[in-house]
Amino acid sequence: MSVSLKHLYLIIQFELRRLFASRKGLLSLITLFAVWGLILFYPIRLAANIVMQTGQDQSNALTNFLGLGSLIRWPVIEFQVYWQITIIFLPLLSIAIAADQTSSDRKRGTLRFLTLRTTRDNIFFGRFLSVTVIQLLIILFTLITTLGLALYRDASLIPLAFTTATTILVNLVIILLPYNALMALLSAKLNSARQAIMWAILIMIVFSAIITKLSTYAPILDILQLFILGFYNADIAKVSGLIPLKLAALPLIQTAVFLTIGRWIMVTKNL
Amino acid sequence: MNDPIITCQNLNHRYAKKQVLNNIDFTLHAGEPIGLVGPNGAGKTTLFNILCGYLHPSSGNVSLFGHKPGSTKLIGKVSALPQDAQLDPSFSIGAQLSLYARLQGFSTKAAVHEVHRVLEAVDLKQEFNNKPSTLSHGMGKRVAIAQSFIGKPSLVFLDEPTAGLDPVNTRTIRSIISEQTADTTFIISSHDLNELGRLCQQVLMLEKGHMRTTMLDASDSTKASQFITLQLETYSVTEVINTLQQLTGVIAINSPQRNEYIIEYSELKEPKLDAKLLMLLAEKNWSYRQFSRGKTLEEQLFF
Repeated sequence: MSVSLKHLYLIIQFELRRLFASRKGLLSLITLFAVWGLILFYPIRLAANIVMQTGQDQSNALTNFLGLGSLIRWPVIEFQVYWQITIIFLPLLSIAIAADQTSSDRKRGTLRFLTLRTTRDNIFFGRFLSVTVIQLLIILFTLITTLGLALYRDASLIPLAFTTATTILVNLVIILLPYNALMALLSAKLNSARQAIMWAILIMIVFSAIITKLSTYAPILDILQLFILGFYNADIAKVSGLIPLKLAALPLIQTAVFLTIGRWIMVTKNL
Repeated sequence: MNDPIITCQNLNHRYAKKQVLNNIDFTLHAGEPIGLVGPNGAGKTTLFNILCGYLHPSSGNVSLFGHKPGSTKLIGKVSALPQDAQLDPSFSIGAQLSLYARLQGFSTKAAVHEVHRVLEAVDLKQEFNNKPSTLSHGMGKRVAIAQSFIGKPSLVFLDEPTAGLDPVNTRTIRSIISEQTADTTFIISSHDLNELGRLCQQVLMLEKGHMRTTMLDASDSTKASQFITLQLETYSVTEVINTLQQLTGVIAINSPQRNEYIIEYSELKEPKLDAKLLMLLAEKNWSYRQFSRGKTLEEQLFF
């Protein structure tokens, strides 16, 4: 493996410009912020108001509605709702954001210009890290706005809200890593972002359904469930602190496996 | 002689069941531009892609300056104009070429300076802030050639640099290449034999996956017999051939195309045949369209 930190930095910097300095990127950001504004001012703010007016138990009606039950006990109600929404919403957003890490550049021939100057490893990992950094910035933005909402309601929550936001940030990054890695793999293999998204959905639904079905007939195949993307997400959603290592291990292992396969495809594929 | 810049040994490549390159062996040294010719499907682009590191050969060894294609040791030393490759439409030309320069080791400021230099070399400095979509086909090709000049590489592969271009752009690109030959060895793949004849001193010929002739000397100057290629207005072929054959030193006359005559002669027997031939044309009142020493590259390679 041939990776240069300087080249990774240059590739990440360039990809960030794609988001923040290109018309298309800015339009995507504005759309995302508009959608986030709706989520923030309706589900999150309204849920917080309900809790404040009726007490914690009533809020569980919302969490039950979302299928996550009454086990959630985040200390700041805004973050409780934030956590429930983002754990469903962000993986889907990740698939869209991370779908075109290398495919269109390969199809267009742009990768041929790049590989004259840097290794395929740098391009593969640089693009993966770029997507992860972009997601990190999106999560930070949404967390800061949620934090603002919570502090607007009760400024005394500052220390608690800050700790909670940091914990959620770490949790979300761990959850999203395997999605980014799967998209890096699919993007290295396929010729367009659309194909990558289609395959990701197929893998997540069909592959998961097949494994689940098989494991009911042969319980020994339960082990295959570990390959299902987001397999522990339902359990992780019930967490009200840092994801325990037992649950964090699977997404991290999945990330390593997807990246290893994706990197192999990237290095061996003809451009 | 200098160390070779390219060495290929027993190079093979196949797509599914089709053998595209078959035991290719050759060694090239730095110097004047080198042409790579061959009919469609001969394996030129496949060979180019292997040399650039885009394609992994089925078997055999390839080395550029002693390193495998795609090695980090070749960054800045080897560059290419890949066939049909396009820049990213989302970024300006300057931004993309600056990234390439930075990846090649230039500082931020030096990268911008270098990009201006290469764009100026192709007369497109004013396009620095424009996006690739604003360029015509010819301008796009020139920008793609410009990116291959970043960092003054020692070896540049140009795959069909003039394909699809009008005569004016073709001439511009030929001039650009000629201006850079002092620092750079170009390997040019093309179907345009007139272009290669003008640019290259050496030619590699690929046919059906084989390197039929390892290297050809386009000027033919070392051969015992010499050639003159003559293109006349329309006259009786029999009369022209019979008349020309009477000149001292003429060995054979061939007319491969209408009104075209290739005269093979012995320079030892008649060192001034060209002058005598011109006098004969004047005497016969025959007008010529073209009069050149040697055979055309097309004649040398294919006939």
